[in-house]
Amino acid sequence: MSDQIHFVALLKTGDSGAYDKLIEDYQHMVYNTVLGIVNHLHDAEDITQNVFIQIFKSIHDFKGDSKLSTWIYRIAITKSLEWERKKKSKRSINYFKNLIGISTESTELSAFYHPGVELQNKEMATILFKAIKKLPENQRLAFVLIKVEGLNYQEVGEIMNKSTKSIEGLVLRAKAQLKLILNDYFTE
Amino acid sequence: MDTNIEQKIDDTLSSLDMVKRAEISPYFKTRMKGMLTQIQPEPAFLSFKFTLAMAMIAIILTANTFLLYQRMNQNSTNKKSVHEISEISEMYHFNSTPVLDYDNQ
Repeated sequence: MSDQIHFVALLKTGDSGAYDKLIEDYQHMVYNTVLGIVNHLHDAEDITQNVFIQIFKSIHDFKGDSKLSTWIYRIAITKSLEWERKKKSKRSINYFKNLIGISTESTELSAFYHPGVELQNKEMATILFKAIKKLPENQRLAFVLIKVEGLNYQEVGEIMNKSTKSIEGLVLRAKAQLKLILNDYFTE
Repeated sequence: MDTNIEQKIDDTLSSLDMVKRAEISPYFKTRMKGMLTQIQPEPAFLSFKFTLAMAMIAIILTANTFLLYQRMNQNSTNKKSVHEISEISEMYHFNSTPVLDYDNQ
């Protein structure tokens, strides 16, 4: 913890070496989390950039009440959800434009292939990511942080400001919901 | 539920069990460093100045409210004392016509 206090103090002074270390240590964590939520390789990289810019701008607001990684996870989640909302409203506008014939842009979500999934599981994982998108936000975040980012219930609880028990509940409900969604998908 | 479909669902759900962490482009760090040098973080003293300014505004507003309240209280006390004086003067006929009114004699 004292290492973190010292490191954060360096970040607050704008020390370039500290920022190098911050990017080095957290770039994959942020990217993987963002990618698990937005399911888009190129956009995930842009959002990761925005996350680091946000960290840089608001490091003075970090009080040290939580772990630095927890704070970074929260920024990454917030930025990803913001991006999703923007994308959703853009898709709705395109849908109406298509309806009245002033645009031909696609409003369909493209299939997502996670680069960390083994080749033999690729197709199944794509179906699963599509199903995860249909979950309620809290269930989806808990499921992604545990399944894709590999965090435990306690860590997810700290990030989402919830108890370990409620995270367990969210993941259980997410799995039950996913079974229903996948059942519909395979029986279609 | 059909056992075949059940199997497919289980396989799909476990397709992320062995997922590896996705890694960002190796050029990301260099790009990010370049970007961060162009952006200046908000210096600590600025946020301190902002807090100080807010505290000063709060103090000034409180002092103003207090002074205004005191002035209003003083006004009502003044009105009260004027009223009391006029009552006394009426009681002792201070403002009545003088006994020796030479003009009207």
